[in-house]
Amino acid sequence: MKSNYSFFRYITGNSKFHTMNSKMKIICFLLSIVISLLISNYLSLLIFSLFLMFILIKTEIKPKIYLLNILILWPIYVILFIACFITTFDVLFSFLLVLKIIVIIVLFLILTFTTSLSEIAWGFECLFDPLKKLGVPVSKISLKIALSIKFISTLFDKFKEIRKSMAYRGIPYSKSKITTITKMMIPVIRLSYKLSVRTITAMKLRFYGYFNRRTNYHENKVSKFDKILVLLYVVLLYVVIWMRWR
Amino acid sequence: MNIIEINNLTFRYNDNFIYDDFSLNVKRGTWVTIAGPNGAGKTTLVKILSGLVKSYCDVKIFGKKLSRGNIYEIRKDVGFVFDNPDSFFACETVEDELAFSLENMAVAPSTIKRKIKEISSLLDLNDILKENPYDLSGGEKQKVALACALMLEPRILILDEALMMIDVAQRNKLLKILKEYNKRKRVTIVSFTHNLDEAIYSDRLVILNHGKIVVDGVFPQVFDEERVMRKIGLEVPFSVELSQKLRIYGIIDKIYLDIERLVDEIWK
Repeated sequence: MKSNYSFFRYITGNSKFHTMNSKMKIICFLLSIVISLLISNYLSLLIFSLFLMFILIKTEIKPKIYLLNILILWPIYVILFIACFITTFDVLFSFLLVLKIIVIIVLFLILTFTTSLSEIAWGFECLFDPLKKLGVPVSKISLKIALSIKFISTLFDKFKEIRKSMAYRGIPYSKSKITTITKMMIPVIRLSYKLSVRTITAMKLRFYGYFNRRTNYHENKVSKFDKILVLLYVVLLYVVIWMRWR
Repeated sequence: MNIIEINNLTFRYNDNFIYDDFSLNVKRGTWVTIAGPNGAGKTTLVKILSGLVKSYCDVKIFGKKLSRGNIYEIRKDVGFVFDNPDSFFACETVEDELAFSLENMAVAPSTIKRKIKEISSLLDLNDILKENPYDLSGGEKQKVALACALMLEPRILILDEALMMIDVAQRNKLLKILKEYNKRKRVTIVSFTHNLDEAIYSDRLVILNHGKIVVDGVFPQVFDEERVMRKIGLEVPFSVELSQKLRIYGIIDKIYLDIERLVDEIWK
């Protein structure tokens, strides 16, 4: 059963972004996170947003899906705006902060929509490979990051399931009422605990973490597109830094 | 030679004994179906064999005593398929799912690719390799879980109600594939089910009730204990039931498990 709310779930495709090398994609992702954190004015935000629009088109995923997934988190934006406004009394700054958060969510959506979890894990593993020499369990940490991302989407699906099962039992669900959400909290916590236990069992049975080394069977080679994209991100980072401290 | 040996198994949940002094041996290369009604202790036995729960007994697989120290060594050669495949999945495409265990075992990518090709062709999964396993139907999910187990090229395949969600036509096809796999690769299959229709390709049928073996025998003689099966709530396959009635009237002289063969016999 497919839904438009594919929150942090991989969407199959053959776009240039889907076939990008995992390591290069993670580099781009980390660079874009740094860029979005460094953004300090509306002009640099506009430049970065235009660049993101280009990437969104390149992913060949319907813009409607991105939009629905961004909009579903509206309570976070409202809470953040109010909290920021109370502490700074600056409307423009509070609004900029919310927009930056939206940009970061879009970045996460792009990464998770176009990259399967094993590729995310592999990308992180390749990137932080030198840390292995210092005894850091990079393989385990990268797979843990990937599984945590997967857990968010699974939890989101379970939330929908609980909402439906409550509706079948005659408990009305209203998006605007906080009481309906609090009613769902205990089943969601219980289910998430159950799910984590199941995931641990599945991982044990599938040899996760037992062997020191892992392999990846579908490693994509670094293409010209990947190199240009990383270069563009570096240029963009320079522009954002320059605009912040000029 | 016994590939699985369970001696004097004792297992309990709180004060409730599921198994008390239970013993079972499985010979190498055979297909054993362990059937029983709900609460007979089937899933508990699977969990004990997979090392997911600890029990006070002597369980030997490949002649090695199951312990914390060698559990991974033993699991490398045992494929498990559970009734709820959703909890088994860890990846976002079927292809990644098939590769996951082998990637964790650091198997070379070229070998993984070859095995994916081989297993997906065998189980007819080529069209869904790029799909998200969570978006598949129940039957397809179970097929993917079975494929994941076969990817390991196991010496023992343990199926826990693994074909429950698959429709009858597909299930028969899969059972035939598994039988061929069992014969060709000498893989030992231990299938846990409550549906005796799934047992028609087995070499031996063991029926459990409240942690005790109530019927144990080879096909088709084991169906002489049909009354015991009915008494504990198991339904005898239609082909067996029909054969038994036709035998009473002298139309046929033995029990047929395969309905097609039974029809051929009547037609003669």
